[in-house]
Amino acid sequence: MSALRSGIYTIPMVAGFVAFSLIAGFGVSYTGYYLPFMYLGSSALIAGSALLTTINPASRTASVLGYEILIGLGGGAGIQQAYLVAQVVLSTPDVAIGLAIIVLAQTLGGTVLLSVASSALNDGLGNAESGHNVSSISAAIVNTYYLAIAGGVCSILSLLLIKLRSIKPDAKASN
Amino acid sequence: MLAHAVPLERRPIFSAIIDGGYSVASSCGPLLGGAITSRLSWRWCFLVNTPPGALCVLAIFLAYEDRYIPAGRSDRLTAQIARLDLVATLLFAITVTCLVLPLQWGGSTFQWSSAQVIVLFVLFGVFLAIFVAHQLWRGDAAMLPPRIGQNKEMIGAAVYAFFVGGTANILEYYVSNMCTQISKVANRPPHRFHYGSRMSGP
Repeated sequence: MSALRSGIYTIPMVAGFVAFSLIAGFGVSYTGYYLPFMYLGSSALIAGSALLTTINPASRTASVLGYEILIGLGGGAGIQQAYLVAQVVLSTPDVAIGLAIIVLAQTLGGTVLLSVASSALNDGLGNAESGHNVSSISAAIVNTYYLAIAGGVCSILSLLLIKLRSIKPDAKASN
Repeated sequence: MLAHAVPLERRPIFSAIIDGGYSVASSCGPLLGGAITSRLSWRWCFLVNTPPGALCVLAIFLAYEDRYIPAGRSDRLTAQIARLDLVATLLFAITVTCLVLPLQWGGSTFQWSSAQVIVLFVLFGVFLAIFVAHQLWRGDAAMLPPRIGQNKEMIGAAVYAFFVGGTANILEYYVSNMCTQISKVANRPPHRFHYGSRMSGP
């Protein structure tokens, strides 16, 4: 039942992710610029995580759903473009290696940050002496949202290394 | 494949479709898996993957034309295996294990100050140093050639993917976890998390 339940709760996030990765895909294709969408993605992730820290057992369902859609926007608009960077800045024979590095970084980020998050969660649970009731558990989960904010901020900082480039052939020629 | 089949300016749309399909599938997967396991048996969770896999192979076989061949490289099998850089792969796997394992153990399975956790962190540093040294020594033949590893924009993109991927993972995992926890609260007002209360059985 638990897997089924968690699948249902993340529907707004996944739907947001799919919808916004398509919108961003068309947007990048249309405008030619991917960097603004990366900034948009990071900002939405930070905003969504910051809003999630305000959630408690008395919060309305609708607000959680809204925050989830914001996070979907963050993941959907942002992560795709990292693959585009590799395709734009590397020479053709190196693109395959570059894409593999991005896949690796993304997966590694999930593994490492999830381990850190589970440690942060356990620390939060350890401090709650009154036993593990729902409010102490959800307070401990909020710790992981602070970590998510930090992750979002780091992702914005990494964008300072990336230049504004267009993927349109005419713009590329004029560069 | 996409990079070979579609010109750069139209690629974002197609990669969005692929990634969107992937995320729909990965969120439907557990639902379907749960249903299959409770109705049939867990063995079917694995068997059910074979027909789509076979379809993929068939589709690639019929529709995909591999046009690009890397120029000026030896195609002998031994040379190709040598290019794989198995030592680096092994070193990297050990390094990541030495990082993730103590992060997971710290504060729960073992204390942060326990010997297991500290030794693993030290080993992580040692293996990371060996890995970097090995990569520098291999030069252009390395798993991560310097011409790519020193490209600032590539570093930016990789760091970005690390943090956005990681952050999205944390949120996906813990938001659903939190909703499950909160839906267990018995005396909450009916309009709050009502879609959870319908799901939570006895």
